[in-house]
Amino acid sequence: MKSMYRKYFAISLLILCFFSCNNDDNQVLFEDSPAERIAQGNSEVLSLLTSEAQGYRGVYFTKNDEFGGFTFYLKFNTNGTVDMTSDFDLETAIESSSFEVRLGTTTELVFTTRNHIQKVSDPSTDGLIGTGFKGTSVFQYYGNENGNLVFRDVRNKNSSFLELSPTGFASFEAESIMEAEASLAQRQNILPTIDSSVFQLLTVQNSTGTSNFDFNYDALRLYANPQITLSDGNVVEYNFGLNFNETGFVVSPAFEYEGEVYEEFLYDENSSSYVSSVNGTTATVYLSNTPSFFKDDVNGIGKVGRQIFISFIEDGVNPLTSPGFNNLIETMEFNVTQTDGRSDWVYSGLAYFAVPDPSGDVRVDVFFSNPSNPNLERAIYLLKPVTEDNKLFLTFEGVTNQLGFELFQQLSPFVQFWASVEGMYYTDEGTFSSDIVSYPNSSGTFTSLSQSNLRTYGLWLN
Amino acid sequence: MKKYMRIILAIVSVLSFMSCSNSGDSVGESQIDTSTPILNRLDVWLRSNFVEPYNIEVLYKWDINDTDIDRFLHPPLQSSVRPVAIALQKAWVEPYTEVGGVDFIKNIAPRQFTFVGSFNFNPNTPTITLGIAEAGTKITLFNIDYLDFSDINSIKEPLKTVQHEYGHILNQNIPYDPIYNQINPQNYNANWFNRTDEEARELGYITAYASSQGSEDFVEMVSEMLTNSKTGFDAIVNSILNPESKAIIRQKEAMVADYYSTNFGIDIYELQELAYKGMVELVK
Repeated sequence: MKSMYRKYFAISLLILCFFSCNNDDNQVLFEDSPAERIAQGNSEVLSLLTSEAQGYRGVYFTKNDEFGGFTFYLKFNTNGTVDMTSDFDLETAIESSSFEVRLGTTTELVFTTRNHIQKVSDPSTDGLIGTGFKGTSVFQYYGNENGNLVFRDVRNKNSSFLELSPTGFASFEAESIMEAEASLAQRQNILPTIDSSVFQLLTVQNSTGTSNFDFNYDALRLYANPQITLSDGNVVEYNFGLNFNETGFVVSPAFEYEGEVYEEFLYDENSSSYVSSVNGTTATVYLSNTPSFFKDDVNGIGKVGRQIFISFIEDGVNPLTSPGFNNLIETMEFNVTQTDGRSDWVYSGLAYFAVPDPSGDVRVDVFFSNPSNPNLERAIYLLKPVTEDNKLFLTFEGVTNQLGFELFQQLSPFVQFWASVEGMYYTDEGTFSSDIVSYPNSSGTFTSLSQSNLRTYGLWLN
Repeated sequence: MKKYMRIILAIVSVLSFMSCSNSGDSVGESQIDTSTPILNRLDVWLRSNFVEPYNIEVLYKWDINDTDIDRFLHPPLQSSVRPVAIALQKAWVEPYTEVGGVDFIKNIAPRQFTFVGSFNFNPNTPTITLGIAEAGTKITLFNIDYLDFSDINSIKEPLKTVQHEYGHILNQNIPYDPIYNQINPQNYNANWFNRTDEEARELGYITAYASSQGSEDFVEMVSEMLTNSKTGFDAIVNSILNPESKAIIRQKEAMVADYYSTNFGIDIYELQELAYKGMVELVK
């Protein structure tokens, strides 16, 4: 019996011996240790960054569901510094700062001291206090796509990207600044001028015909919210950010409409428009004399909540008041100060009283501050309103106060604005906001269809 | 047979033990990169002036983990760093060292300063955070890119923050007398930012922020005393119209002076003079 146990024991030990010699981890998955592979990953990215003697052109969308993008020009040096310029603003001088490639959540490119790229994460940015453009200084490396290095911001990884492509410059110092300044010029081309119409449209022409969108461009955020009103009255809207370059702009996300994808728009100087051509179709951003669709907001005028419209300088600036209208204000003010005893008068604002009087007239008042009078001076003009085809037609009826008579000639541009032969186009614009205040009052715009460069923005008192 | 069995058993046992032996390489050199990073002249200067003498690290190169990831902030310009570091030396380190001894700052000090270039706006309130102290070991200073060294009031802001936060660190080492919190607790309010400093003073608090709670009240007194001359501080107190409030501020001042004297052997008025002198020297 004992002998049998011994045999079993010997056999068990033999099996154990053979299995203990069994090599089951001979599969070499990686040549290097994790630490070495991490260091190698960082080293590869660093090497890619510093290998481009003429640097990279970096298109950076901080958050393409809220903002457009900016272009940065970056030359990475082996001493840990990076030379940089950008088209963020007019300060295009090349600045030097430090950068690192290190391991964070993955291999990260970190701009460790301030340079152009931190302009998008500056919370002191006018109009975007607290957040700026919601940018970052830390970028996760997502890969090399055909020589373009793609990075993302972990906070906005689905809407943010920094894509670096070699500049191909002969001289980084000279050409980067030139390109940034050309891009800034393109950014100006899209803005309304004193003479240009306020109606900016996006029109798509394809085999099914022409589709017109109101472009709704927000110059502060470099963001567009094109809207098209369908024949059934429903509104369909799109959203994308713009990144300007020396030839026009690219949009992100790409604009997809009726099976085509429009991404790159080229500026056509002759027509002052931006055109994207894809497979025989075109998408064009341009200025029109009329909106894409006449909304019926005008039908609410004169009713409760739309009775007295005012627009006063003291309430701040909103870009919906057009440069042309600001120019009209300056003209009026200049005209008035040329008359006897009024050299120190200053334009204060305007009011439109939308409820007709017993004679069926409405009135517009224009106000001036006179240092000799604690009350505002006002000139009053009467107009007869007719609403037709979603337009407001105001016919000049007369003057009702002495100042209105005395300044009739000087204020005639103001009267002509309201008494537009082609009518006025009115739009509701939500609650009132400007660069200095926000009020819960409803706001709106009036645009002259005879002079489509003139649009005023204001609020409804009641 | 038995003999063979014994031999086999012996061989198998030896093989068994050998098979369990570790035949791998011995532990080699660490694979973690511990090489010295690239140091620029500023880094070398900071090491010589803060790390070596005081074991205080001044961080200015961006690390997303040094600040609140939900805030939109940016690193400072490299050129902003040294002037602020010098301000810390002149108006905080050197005065404390002179009155408290060479080891005072070495023994009780934040181990790390983080400099941030941008303002730190607080969401949903009309306020900004000038600085943050964490567990007595780290002070973060914001908006250092926006300091104007030709204006003493501009320089005073970060120094107020440092004196304020350092006051907290001293309190964490030796708590102040809790009776201080009972002097005039009736107007402590979380919405302190709705008061101006002048309004707060008329209620017996040296600043609006001092009217938020007792611990902040104490260090705001420290901060105001150490960033103004005695004449300047007296002028602030004498501008208070309400005599009762003025007396309360003087009572708090006396408790702060006693705290420094009793616990650290420091005459706060001597410290005040040195700190203010250091601050004045910074103005270009």
